Amino acid sequence: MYYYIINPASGGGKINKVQDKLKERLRELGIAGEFVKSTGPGDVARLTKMAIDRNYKTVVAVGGDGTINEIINAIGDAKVALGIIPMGSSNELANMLGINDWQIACNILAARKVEEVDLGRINDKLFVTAASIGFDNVLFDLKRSQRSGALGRFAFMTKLSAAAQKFKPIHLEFNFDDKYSVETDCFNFSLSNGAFLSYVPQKSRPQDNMLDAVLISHLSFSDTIKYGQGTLDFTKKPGQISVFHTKKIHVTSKEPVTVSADGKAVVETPVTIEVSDRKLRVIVSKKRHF
Amino acid sequence: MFEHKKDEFVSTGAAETVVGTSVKLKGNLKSDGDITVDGSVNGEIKTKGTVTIGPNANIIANVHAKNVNVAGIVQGNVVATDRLTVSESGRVYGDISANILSISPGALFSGKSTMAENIKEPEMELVVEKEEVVEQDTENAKK
Repeated sequence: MYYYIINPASGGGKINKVQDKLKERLRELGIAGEFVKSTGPGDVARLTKMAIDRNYKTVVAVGGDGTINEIINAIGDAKVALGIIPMGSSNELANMLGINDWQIACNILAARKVEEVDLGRINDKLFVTAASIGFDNVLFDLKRSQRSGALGRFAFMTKLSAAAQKFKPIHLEFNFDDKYSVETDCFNFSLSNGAFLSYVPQKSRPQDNMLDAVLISHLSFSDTIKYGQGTLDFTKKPGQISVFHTKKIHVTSKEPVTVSADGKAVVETPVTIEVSDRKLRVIVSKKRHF
Repeated sequence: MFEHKKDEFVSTGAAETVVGTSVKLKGNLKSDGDITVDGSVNGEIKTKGTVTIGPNANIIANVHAKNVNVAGIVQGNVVATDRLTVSESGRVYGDISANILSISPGALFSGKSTMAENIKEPEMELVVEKEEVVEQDTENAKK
């Protein structure tokens, strides 16, 4: 039986427009299980634990990366498979798993092909896509508040321009696997669990028990705008990016700075981030990017 | 992040490890894959693949790899089990050893040169996995 956790706040309420069609399609496929709606922060975790207590074997996140993050942190050691119907403002995991929209997601859920993927850990918090410090955290906030339509895009661009002018690179020091250390001024630092970043070499996989540390140094104003829009071509910026493969990294800065996981602020520096012993069982598409 | 991904995976070249221009690295950088250095490294670089030292790189380190391409500055010994190439902008202050050696006109090399047919491959450290059972039990105990 499938247990669907709907986050009505995800992606500015995308689910509300397609909810009836979605349920109908799931019924057609014979996988219409129980539907529950979260009511606020922390409620997704409560609902996940409830599903585990009631012995559900498949918990489906109807939302984005933030919803998924709450579920994976609540699953614990339970033998539960995670399904995804992408409805968030950020759907990084779904994209990597080849789940591009809710219609495709329904078919993938019905096929129920399960793979194990790595999880990252920051203190006692797990993440599945990436941990970030720097400009990504500004973008997460902008994306979350972005409204749809031309006016929404205009407002986003205005805020992005203001943020790009204001943002200053952060001096960070990293220690990798207790073997070598790196220091640099960082526009952005991401610790990615697989092929979530286009500019990481393609060997990156979410099943290799490794994390990819990606450091972007200073970017000009115009490049920052392109970065925010997702159009910056890093192949034309040799030397701007550093990439290290690691199991464990310790990050320090002069002043505490925010560290996010799966797009949500979780802690401040100094911080140790590493590959977790736990794995996530997740339903994937045959067209996944790993 | 943010929509750079999906289908169009851009590569930073074939290198698995990239040390960017503004980065200062201290310690021993070891890898099985290719390494590109455009910043500064103080320590040691060792890989079974290729090390590419870019024109902006400044390295105070011994380098041991299958192939080594030098376009920047290296202060240290360089051992290439296969090919060592020092291009026009390259500066090597140290001893070099390679099966195949190529030094372009304009390059600077100060040290001893050895050419051998069978230079030993870089030895990688044996990675011993943690005892997962013990780790997981500890995790469970915390719950």
